Amino acid sequence: MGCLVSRGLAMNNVLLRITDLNKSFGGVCATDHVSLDVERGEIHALIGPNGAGKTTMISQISGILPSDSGEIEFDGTPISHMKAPARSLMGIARSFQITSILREFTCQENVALAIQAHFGHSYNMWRPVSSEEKIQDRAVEVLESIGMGELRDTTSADLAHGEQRQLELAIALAMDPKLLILDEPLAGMGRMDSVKIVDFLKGLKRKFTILVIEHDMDAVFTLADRISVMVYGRLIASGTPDEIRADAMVRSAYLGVD
Amino acid sequence: MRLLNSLQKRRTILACLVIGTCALAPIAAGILDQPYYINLFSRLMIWAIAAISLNLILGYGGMISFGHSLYLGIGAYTVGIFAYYDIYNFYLQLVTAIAVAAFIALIFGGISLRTRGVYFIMITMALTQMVYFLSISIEEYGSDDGLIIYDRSDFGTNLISMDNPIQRYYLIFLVMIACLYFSHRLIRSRFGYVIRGTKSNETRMEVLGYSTFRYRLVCFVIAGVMCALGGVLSANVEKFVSPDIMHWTRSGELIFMVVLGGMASILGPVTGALVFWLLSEFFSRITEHWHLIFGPFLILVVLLSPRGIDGLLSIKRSGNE
Repeated sequence: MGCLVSRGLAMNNVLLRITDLNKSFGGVCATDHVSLDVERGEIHALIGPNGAGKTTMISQISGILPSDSGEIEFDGTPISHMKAPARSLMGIARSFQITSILREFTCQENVALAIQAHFGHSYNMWRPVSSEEKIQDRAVEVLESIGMGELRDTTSADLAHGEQRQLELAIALAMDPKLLILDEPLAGMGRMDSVKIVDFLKGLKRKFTILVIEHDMDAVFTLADRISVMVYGRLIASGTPDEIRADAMVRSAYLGVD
Repeated sequence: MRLLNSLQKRRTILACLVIGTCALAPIAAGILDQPYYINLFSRLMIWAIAAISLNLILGYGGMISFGHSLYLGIGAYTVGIFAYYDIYNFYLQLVTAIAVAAFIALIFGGISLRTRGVYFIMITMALTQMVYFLSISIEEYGSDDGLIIYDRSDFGTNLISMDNPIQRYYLIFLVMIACLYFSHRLIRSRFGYVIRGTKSNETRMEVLGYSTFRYRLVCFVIAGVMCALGGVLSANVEKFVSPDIMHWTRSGELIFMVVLGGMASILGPVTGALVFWLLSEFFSRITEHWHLIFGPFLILVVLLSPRGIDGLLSIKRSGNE
């Protein structure tokens, strides 16, 4: 398997290394002895049927869910014992499958808050954030890069669904992460919006290391450098898009269903 | 945009009305020859200070503390206990009250903020009741009869005296304005955004890189200290302090003031305190069992306008707008 090949590579090429990761809920193994490497600069797609444990695994990576056992190493540092905020400050950003934005805040405030977290401490109780030009300029820049410049003053709860998904992405990008984890960025998006986002993600290639969960196979095969397939909590294959397309096990377990 | 402007205008009008009333009350009391009103409005503004502080954690932070009157008690008892030993130095009393309130808030917040929802409400209430019963059990300090304070705090100067009702009134007024301005700055600052963001979506904030527990705890301590200022002033108005000041029903009244005025609005707690008092005066004149009407009335207000009086301001006037 491609997975075995990549584990032989020098560590400094690997940004995220997961070794023998486990998580079960009651009797259900959501993550079952998963080992996975994400290399610097690649777009790594994680695919698999619903309930395969993909979201569980990235929640373990981002630190929202504690793992039962196993090691997670990020940028050469073991992070298994760290809580979510510490991992975020190390450079792991994630978006959520179910949109997780601050609904009362405007788009710009949402993005600014993501930038602020990585911009020194936040115990200043006197100076208005709106007057911190470094933060606000960067927020506008991020929103414009994703084509939401004109929506900056719109309260995020008032956005259309597709726009909220875009904002979710903008928030993750604003953190300027070393690793960008995207949980179904295209979920619930119309065709037009999907094409726009896929184009946008293409533009991020090589600038960010991306681990993405996605069900849209066209998007996955267009974007990904490597693909890992997860079924019932296990990683059954990992390789280039061509290898995955050719893999008999994957075809029967997943792709063949289509 | 137009709606926003008219909301802004109405808020300004209400602010002028509420602050103006507080600023001019002693003058009105003089003209009407009703000196009673000065102390009444003093009390009202102390409630407002406590409500402003509660609004920081309840309105902006989503932390429903059902034990906030504890900090009024800490402030008032600090003055009372110092006075019991014939120590009247205002600055000493103030610094001690702040230190004790901060310390207690740090411990109680550290315990209660590990829980959420109903558990948080119950724990904050239980911790406050604990101190309430402690104050009842200490006979040295008057137990449930309370503690009479023979002399008010002394500033060590002849320029201002707590014994002068007008000077005392405007001191309280200034503290209230300062608390309002501080809240105004705080909620727009980095810290304020973190607190409001955490109320909105805590998981998101954690993933953004904020250790939300620490920020909430700091906010809890700030609210406790601000409320204790109200307690220090209260002891100086009443020349008396009793465990009643931190009974859980007091905490409940504070919550009502915040909700009535409009959670997460700067001026809301002051409006809430004012209207709360006006209503209780009004209803208590109709019948002895005025709580029977007052309760349902408050529930009705909350149901009709979840954002309280501040929420009513944003309702569009039909026709001409």
